Amino acid sequence: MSVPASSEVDPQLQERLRSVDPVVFDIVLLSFASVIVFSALGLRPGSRLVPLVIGIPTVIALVAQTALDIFRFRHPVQEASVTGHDPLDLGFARLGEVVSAAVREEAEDTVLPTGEEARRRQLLFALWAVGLGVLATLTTFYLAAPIGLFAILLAVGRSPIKALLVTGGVLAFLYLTFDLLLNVPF
Amino acid sequence: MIDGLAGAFTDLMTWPSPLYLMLGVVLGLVVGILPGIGGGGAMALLIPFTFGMSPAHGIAFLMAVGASSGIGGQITSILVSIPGDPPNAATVIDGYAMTKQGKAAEALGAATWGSMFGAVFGMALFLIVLPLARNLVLAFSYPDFFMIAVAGLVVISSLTGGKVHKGLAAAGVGLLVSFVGLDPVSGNPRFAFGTLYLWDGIPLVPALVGLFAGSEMLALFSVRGSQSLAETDPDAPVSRMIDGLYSTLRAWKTVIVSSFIGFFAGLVPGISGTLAAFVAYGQAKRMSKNPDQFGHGAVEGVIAPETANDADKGGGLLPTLAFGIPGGVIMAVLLSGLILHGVPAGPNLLRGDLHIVYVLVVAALLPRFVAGGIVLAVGTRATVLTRMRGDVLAPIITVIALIGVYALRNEPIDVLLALVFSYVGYGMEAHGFSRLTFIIAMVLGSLIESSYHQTLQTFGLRGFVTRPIALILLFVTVATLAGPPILKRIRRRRLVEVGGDRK
Repeated sequence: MSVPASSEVDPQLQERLRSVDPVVFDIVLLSFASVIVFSALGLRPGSRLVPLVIGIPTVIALVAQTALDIFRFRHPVQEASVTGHDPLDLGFARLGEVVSAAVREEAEDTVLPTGEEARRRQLLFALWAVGLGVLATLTTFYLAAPIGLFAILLAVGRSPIKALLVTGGVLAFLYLTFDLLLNVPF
Repeated sequence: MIDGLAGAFTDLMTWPSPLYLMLGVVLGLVVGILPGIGGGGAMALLIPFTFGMSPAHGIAFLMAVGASSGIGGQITSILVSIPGDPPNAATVIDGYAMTKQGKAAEALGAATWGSMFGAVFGMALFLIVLPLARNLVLAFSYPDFFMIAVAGLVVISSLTGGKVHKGLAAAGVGLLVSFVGLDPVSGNPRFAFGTLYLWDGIPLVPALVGLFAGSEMLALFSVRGSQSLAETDPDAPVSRMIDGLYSTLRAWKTVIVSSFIGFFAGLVPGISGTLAAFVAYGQAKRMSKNPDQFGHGAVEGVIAPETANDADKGGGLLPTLAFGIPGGVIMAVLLSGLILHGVPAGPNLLRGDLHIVYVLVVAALLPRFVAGGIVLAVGTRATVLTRMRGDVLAPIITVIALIGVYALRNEPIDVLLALVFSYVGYGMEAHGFSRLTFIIAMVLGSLIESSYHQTLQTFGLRGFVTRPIALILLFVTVATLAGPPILKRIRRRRLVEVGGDRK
C-alpha cells in the first residue's frame, strides 16, 4: 500500500491544516465544558455528581484535543500525509474498511465548498442570519422576514422585482401555513 | 397486530392526516432531490410545524418526510451523480454509469422498486421482532437503562465522525448541555446563570434546527450554479421504468440479502443507512455472477444499496422505540418529535398502547409507496429542482425555519439559540465532532442522570455490575472502546511476523 509522500501534499490542504479554526473551536467547547464543571463544584453533592462524572473527562478530552490541534497547526505536513486514503473495492473489503468508507462518505458529504467566493458568501449568509434574528427579536417576524429576505435576495444579485415576488410568495406561504392552517401566529 | 395496523391506517386516513402525509411526501422528495439538506435536517426544520397536529399525525408527518427523502435522494444520485442523502452515495457508482449508458429510467425504476421492497421487508422484520423486544424491555431495570444509554453513546461515538475521542467529547458536551435546567434530584435550577430562560433547560427544537440545518444552509447558499444531467450515448437503447421492476424481480436474492443487511445495520446505533448501503453493495458484488460489471452500470449495484438503505429504517425503529436510543439522524429527530409531543419514548412506549408504533410503521410504508409512484411517474424530469439557485433557496428555508422555531413558544431567545447552534453545528461538522452524537447525548442526558441516581438508591454501586444485562452492556461498552486498538495492534504484529517469515 502506497502512502503519499510529504512533498506531494496538496497546498490547499496544508493551508487548511495551518488554520487556527480547529484550535478556536476546541477552545470554545473547552470553555463551555469548563464553565459547567466549575459551576458544578458549587452545587450540592447529589446535584453535582453526574455533571462532574461526565464533565471532568470531557474537559480532559478537550484539553488533549486542543493540544493535538495546536501540534497539528505547528506540524501540518506530517499530519497531512496520513489523511490520504486509497479507493476501496467494496466487493472485497473487510467490514471495518467498509465502516471507514461509510464514515468518510458521511463526513465528506457535509464539507463546505472552499474558495474565496464561497467563503465570502458563507460570511454574508452568517451575518444576514444574525441580522435577521436580531431584527426579529427587536420587532416581529412579520416585519423582519420580508425585510431580511428582500435584502438578501438583492445582495445575491436578484432583480428588485424578482426579489419582491419571491418575498411576497414566501410571506403568503408563511401566513397561510402558520396563521391560517396551524393557527400559530408569529 | 393486524388490528393495530388497521387502526393506525384508519387514523392516518382521517382528515386532515392524508393532507399532512401528502405534504410530507412532497417535502421529503424535494429535500431528497436537493443535495445537502437531507432527510434528518428537513425533519428537524419541520418539527415546529407538527405542533398544530395531533401527536400521531405529527409523528406520521415527520416519518413521511424521512421516508420519502431517501427516494428523492436516489434521483440525483442516478441522474446527476450527486447523492441527495449520504445513504444514497453507494447508488451513484452504478446508477450514474447506467444513466451514461442511456438506462436512467431502468436505474430509477430499479432503485424505486428496491426501496419499496426494502421498506416492506424492514418493517415486516421490525413487526416480527417487536414482541421479543417488548419482553426484553420488561426485563430492564434502572442500571440496565443507564448502561444501555452509555453503551449506545459509546457505540455511536465510535461509528460517527472521524475519531472516537472526538465522538466521546461531542457526547460529553451534549450531556453537559442536557444538564442545564432543573436538577432531577433536588428540583433546584442548575447551570442557569441567573436566567429564568434556562430553568427549563436548553430547548431541543432550536438545538435540532440549528445543528442539522445551519451548516447545510451555509453550504447551499455557497453553491451558485446548478447540476446538469449526464451526457448519454445517443445510440444507446432507451430504457423504461418497468425494466427496473423486472430487474428487481430478477435480482430477488440481492433484494432479500440487502434487506437483512439493512435491517441489522439499522439495529446498530451509528451511521446505519450509509453503512448498510455500502455493505449491501459489497455483498451484491460478491454474490453476482458478473462482478466485473459493478462500477460500470450493474443494476444490482443500484438495487442493493437502495434496498438496504430503506430496510434499515425498520431496524432503526427498534432501538429508538424500545430503548430510546436512536440509530441515526432521522431516528434522533423522530425521537425528539416523540418527546416533544409528550409520547413516552423508550420502554414506557412498548409497555403501553402500541398505537403510535403502528402509526409509525404505516407512516413509514404508505408515503414511500406514494413517493415511489411519484418518482415512477415524474422520472427524469424531477431533476429540474436541482436547477434552483442555492442562494435563493437557503434564505427562504432559513426564514421558514427560524419562524418555526419562534412560533413554538413565541420566545425570541429561541431564535438566537437556533443561530448559536447553527454555528456550533457548522464548527462540529468542519472539525470532525459528530453532531449526531451531540444531539443524542442531549436527548439521553436526563435518562442517564435519573437512572444513575435510581440505581444508586435501589441497588447501590454494585447494581451496575451485578445485573446480567448491565454487565453485558458494560462489556459491550468496554469492547467498543478497547476492541479496535487491540485488534489493530494484533493485526500489525501479524503483519510484522508475516514480513519476518518472508525474509
